[in-house]
Amino acid sequence: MFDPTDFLTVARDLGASDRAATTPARLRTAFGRAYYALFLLVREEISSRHHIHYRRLPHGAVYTHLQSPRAGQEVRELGRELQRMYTLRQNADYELAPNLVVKGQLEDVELLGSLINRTRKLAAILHQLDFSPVVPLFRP
Amino acid sequence: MISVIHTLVDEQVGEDDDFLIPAGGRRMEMDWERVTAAFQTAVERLGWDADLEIRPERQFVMVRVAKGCWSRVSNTTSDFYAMVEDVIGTEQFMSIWIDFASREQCSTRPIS
Repeated sequence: MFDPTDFLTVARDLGASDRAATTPARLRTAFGRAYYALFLLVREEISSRHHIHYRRLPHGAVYTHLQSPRAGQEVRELGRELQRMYTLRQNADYELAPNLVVKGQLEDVELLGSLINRTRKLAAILHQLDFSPVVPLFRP
Repeated sequence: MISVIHTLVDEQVGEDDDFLIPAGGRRMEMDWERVTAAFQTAVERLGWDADLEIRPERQFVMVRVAKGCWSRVSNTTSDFYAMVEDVIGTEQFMSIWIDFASREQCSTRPIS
């Protein structure tokens, strides 16, 4: 079975490369891989623990329901981070002419490194989180 | 050093303007002096070398982190969130979009 944390290794490698000519594309790709690492880990954790099919765990539903008032603080924080990373990923993949703030973020190697570290920390505690209060939100 | 930048009073945000709000929050009135103080206190207590760019009309806080401080930030982000939420309340906290960027790339252009 594929381990999504491998995406974090790829993201770090992309961020560490010094081939300047392709830096923007590599960093954009890295932000995307970092997001997918966390998203896939969260999706797998909820799916396997609560027997919810992947089809009921699309991006928007996951980050939205995890931020539900019924969720505990740590789960809400996870949802917030997922949404922030999803937004960065959307900008990285689709915005050819982002505003200066977003452009700065997409070229920010330090931000990328921080997100990778943060994702590793969140991934390490996923098995401890209580998703049960929000599980009904994913069911038909 | 911490600097707090309030959005200019004449920068109006219309009802139809699109801006980011966490999925668990909503557009709402809040006491931005209290919010600003909470963020500032959290930054100071955690020893972050970071500037805060606060835009009340967009319910947006950008944390601009100094080079060399990112490790501390990523290690204590959860503490940061918890400290702010404890002071301003969960509903308010969940209604503020918090983002991060390097301070050295600071832009003065308004968020669009």
